[in-house]
Amino acid sequence: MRRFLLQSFLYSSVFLLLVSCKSYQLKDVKSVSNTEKTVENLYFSSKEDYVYKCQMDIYKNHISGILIIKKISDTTHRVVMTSDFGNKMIDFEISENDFKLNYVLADLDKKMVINFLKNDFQELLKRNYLVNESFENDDSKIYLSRIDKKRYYLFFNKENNLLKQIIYTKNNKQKIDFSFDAKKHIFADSLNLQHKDFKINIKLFQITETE
Amino acid sequence: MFKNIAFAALLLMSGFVFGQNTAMTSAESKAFVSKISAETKEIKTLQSDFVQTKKMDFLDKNIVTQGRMSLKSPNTLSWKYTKPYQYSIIFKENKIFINDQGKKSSVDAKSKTFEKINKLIIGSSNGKMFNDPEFSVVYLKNSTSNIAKFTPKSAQLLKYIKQIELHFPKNQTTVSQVNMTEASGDTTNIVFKNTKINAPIPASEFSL
Repeated sequence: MRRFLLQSFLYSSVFLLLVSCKSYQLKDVKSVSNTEKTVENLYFSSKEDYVYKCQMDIYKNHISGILIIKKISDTTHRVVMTSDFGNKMIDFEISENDFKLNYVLADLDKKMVINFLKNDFQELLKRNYLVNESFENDDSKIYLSRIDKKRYYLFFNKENNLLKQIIYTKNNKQKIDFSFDAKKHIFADSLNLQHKDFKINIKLFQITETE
Repeated sequence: MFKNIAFAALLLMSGFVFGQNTAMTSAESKAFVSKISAETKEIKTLQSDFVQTKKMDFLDKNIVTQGRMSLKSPNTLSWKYTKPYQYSIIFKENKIFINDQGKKSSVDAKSKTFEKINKLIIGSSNGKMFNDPEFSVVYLKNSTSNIAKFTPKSAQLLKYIKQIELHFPKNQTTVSQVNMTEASGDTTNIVFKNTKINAPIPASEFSL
């Protein structure tokens, strides 16, 4: 099984390298002068519990459950996923530079899976972005933030100023698209994390506010 | 030595928490098991609403989900969450059918986790669980309920679950409450309500 996973992983990596040489570029936008020095992703910034119904597709595996994200200090979030029946599948603490695995179910205890989750959640929970360039189109203000070889394009809805998308690229290749649906800036009702480099997709629907 | 002290402290603490529960005598526990086993043999169908409450120490609020379970002897089970989201899982003819918010799938019932869930739910409703060699059982009682406390014997199963408690109200054959404690100390509590025994269940309940 492991070998098969590794093989399909390698093949798809090679395949993706061949097909995804096109670099990411913003389309139909106009450059504008920088109005903001920094922008923020505040969707997980409150100290309240964030509780989501979660659907993960990792290659052909579908994992369903409940995902809890909780800010436990200024720098660190605790992330826990349980099955729909309540038993814990994975539990970790994560900050920009640290990662501490508290628990993982034996079936999920694969280096590849944990590394993906670590990287994806580090990107998702990243709060502050320095703005290098600004753009806009008909419905969005777009801020580009560059850190070494990484680029983040943050799309804010012009009407309500809510963050609706982050496109994360590395070496100009599109890595992950995050899209958010929200009514307020500290809380996303739903979220879609779509890998552009591997067949990985994570969908979250809020169940925090049920009444 | 430290282990012994910790164990004694734990016993003492659980003594406080479950102060009202006392151990059954061996005659009482035998009578209880044979009564439940005999009565549950008569169960052909079972339907119940449930409320599931997940507690984790770092959360401000508990996570509460609700739904409905239906069981048809010998081994057809439907477990449906209806609030705050829709998720159904049906065990039928050695297959598992899942509807995850509209996304339907089916798998052979080979997955160990699913097998255990199925065994647990069906076993606790037909009394077979008392004879499960994977668990050791302690029987307790209080003024309203009889309680069977299951502890896994194998280290492998203990990694998943530390303890399962089944509550049987004294006037009832079926479980009214299940309390599960994970190795980490987190708990999941399921309370069953509006339980109906041997009422007809429409076939649609066992399809997605």
